[in-house]
Amino acid sequence: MSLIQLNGIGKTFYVAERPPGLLGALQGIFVRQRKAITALADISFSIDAGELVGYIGPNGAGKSTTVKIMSGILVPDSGTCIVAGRVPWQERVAHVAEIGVVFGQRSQLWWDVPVLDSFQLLRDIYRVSPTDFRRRLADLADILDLGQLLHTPVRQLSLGQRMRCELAAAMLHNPRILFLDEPSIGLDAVSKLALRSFLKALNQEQGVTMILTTHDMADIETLCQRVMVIGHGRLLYDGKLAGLKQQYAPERRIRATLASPCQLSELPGADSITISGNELVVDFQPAKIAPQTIIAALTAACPVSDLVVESISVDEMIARMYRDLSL
Amino acid sequence: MNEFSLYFRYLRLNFLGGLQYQGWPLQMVGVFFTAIIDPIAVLILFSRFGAVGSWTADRVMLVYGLALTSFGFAELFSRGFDTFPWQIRTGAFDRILLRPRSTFLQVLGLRFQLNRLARVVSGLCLVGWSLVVQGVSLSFWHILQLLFALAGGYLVYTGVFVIASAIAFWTIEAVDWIYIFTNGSYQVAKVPPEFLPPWLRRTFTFFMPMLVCSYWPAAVVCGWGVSPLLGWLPLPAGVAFLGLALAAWRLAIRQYASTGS
Repeated sequence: MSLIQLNGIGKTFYVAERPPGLLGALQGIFVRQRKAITALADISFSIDAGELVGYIGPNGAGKSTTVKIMSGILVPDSGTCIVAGRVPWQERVAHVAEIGVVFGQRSQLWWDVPVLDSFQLLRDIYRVSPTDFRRRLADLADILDLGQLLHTPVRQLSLGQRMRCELAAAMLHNPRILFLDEPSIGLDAVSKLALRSFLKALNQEQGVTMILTTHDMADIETLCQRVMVIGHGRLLYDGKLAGLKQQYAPERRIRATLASPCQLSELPGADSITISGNELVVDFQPAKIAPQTIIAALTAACPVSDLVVESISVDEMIARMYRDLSL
Repeated sequence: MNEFSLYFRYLRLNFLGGLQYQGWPLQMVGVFFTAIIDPIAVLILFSRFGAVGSWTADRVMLVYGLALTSFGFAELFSRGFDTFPWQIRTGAFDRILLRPRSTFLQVLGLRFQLNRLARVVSGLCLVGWSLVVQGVSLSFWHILQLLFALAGGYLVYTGVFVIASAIAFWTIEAVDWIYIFTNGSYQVAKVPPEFLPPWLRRTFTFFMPMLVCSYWPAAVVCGWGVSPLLGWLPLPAGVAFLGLALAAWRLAIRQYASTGS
């Protein structure tokens, strides 16, 4: 039995629409136009305990709606959702005691008081015993390097510092499940790395099950074995990142530095060749032609001083996929 | 930790947060002055024209003082609901739903500002002054009735905040007119009830029982010729009104769960 199970989840929002301007506002009093927006059409997936799943899709695809349904904030129009044996919105209190939620764009800390005060209130809210609290806080402060931050008011923290505190706040009550909604948004490189290594350790050492929504493909690449792609309220892909690459980024790119100028318009098996200055780029598909064959042909035709073979970046791959699926 | 002590932990945190800002003693002075200046207009009118019928300034101020104190207590201890309509769009309620505690308690503890104590202090001063000037001798039961009047009034005003918050789940635009029932209603307490238009008097008696919690207990305690039984009504009226408000609140939460923010 999986830890999280969604079956045919659908959710439609109704937004009041009115023509712009003063006349439109007056008209809106008498005639209410409601426009239906399907956030989720038919979402089904199941996640086992201990998985770390990346949940991606363009803005407005329905990621946050799914997270809100799984955390019990929203009730879906159709379908079933079972998390840790419970229907989230039917047993809200018991359910939320077992999950942690981090919203990258919102804070769960009290703005004007030192972080430690917030943590102590969370301890009381979640009924964490003083001994457990001390131990967990010491652990988290150690891993996330909170040290001095604990005595600083939240409003004085940088975004990166605050996110570290948010993670600690979400983990104080030792939840089995952690939902992360764009936790890396706006973070600098150092904070992003710290975030990733923390999540990885939490998942591997304590077996915390995580669902991570993000627009940063490096998050996905370093953390998630499994990726779910959502678009137009439907699940478009669910599987390994490698499988997604095979489907949407099968080609390789040779980036060569030329020792001296060289004219080359065609190579057998190459999809495209572009030369700009002393850089030469060749795209090809390993499925059609073996890399050594095309490299041999290239070095025979041109004087090459340096050469790398790379795959399409995950960002580009995702952009390509969104385009393909017209998202 | 039970819900009640948790509520005070919330208040403590908000209180400490407020102290972080330098201006809080000034704010306190500010609110205090507004509350003092507020009745002065009425007092000046009375000193110019004398009593209106049997209504002297000190009588009016007793009714007004009771309403003002109740409203002050509600602002002090239920400020979370008072400010909630303006917080809902920021996703504050999502966060509340994510915590394994009563939503009512959490909203109640969203905000606490000590400067709201000022209205309570000035209200109590008015009540005390009025009772002394009128030379009312209070029995134990009268004191109890006055305390119940304040408690009932507190529940009524909290109920108004709760209803405003419930409405805010649907639309924030329609929330402003709720001021008629908060600031508006205790201003109405400055006018002797018999001079109020009947519909207004009925509204504040039967719909929102503000006069039940201010005029009636005042009349009973001072012996203005109403049935002594009316003096016991504020608490049940307050409980009933808050109960109604909570029903609306529950309805609104159900609606929120199906629409989101």
